[in-house]
Amino acid sequence: MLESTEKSAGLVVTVMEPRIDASVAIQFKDKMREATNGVSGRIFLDLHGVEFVDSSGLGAIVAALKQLEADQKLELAALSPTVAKVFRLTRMDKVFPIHDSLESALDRYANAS
Amino acid sequence: MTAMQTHHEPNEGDTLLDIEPKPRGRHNVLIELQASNETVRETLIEIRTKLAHHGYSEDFLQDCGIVLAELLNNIVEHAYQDTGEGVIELTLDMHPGALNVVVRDQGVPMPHGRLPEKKQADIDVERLDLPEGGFGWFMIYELVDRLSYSFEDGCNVVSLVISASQDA
Repeated sequence: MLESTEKSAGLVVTVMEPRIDASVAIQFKDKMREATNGVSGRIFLDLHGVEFVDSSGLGAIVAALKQLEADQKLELAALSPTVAKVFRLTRMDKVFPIHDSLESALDRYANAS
Repeated sequence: MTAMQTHHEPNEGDTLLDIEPKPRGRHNVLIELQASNETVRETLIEIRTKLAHHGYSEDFLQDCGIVLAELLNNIVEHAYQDTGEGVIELTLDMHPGALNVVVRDQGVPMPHGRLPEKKQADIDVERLDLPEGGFGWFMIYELVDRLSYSFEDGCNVVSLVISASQDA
């Protein structure tokens, strides 16, 4: 479901499922906990492959944020139009830093310590 | 088990697109589906294809996808209490610029016998206090033109209209 890659800017977690919905929300939350546990600094959730997120999926992404330690950061990249709409409607686009692409997210923090 | 049944004898491997709708007019579709998360997912994907073939815009398809997902998920989780069992009956009535939807189930009635209030989850809170739910009905209210609920003959009936002129 998730693939993790370490970059200098932080950990990239790429979602390999096309839909984060009621069928997989709980698994997603659990897998995110495993992927982010003990990782220091910034985590980028790469959503380029995700076509659809429903309210359960949105809740699971929020839960993943809440599972982090206070000094860990979670940012989102490459939201598809439907996913972006869900975040915008619920105002969750104000809660997460959102980047157009993974590349622009990594570039932004390329020289960050 | 096939994801959907209509009132036509389905052949092995039939999908919604292969099955002719009931003879009420070629712009009406009646779908019966089992109330499980997986079946809902398959149904939503097939409905999107059907709506796309009907010529609706991408923006409209997104809105329909969001509304239908939330409606059907609600039935799975609340009306049928996450048992994965129960039948949902979904009627789609396709007009240029609008989709009329009627969803029926025989599960638990809505609390207080009416639709939940439209309530935006409060996000101006500390990280640990962020809401993880309560988004679904809010999005439905935001995207539909009309919405009503009744409980008739043991069935929950939700009717709504999604119109293409809706700004989201």
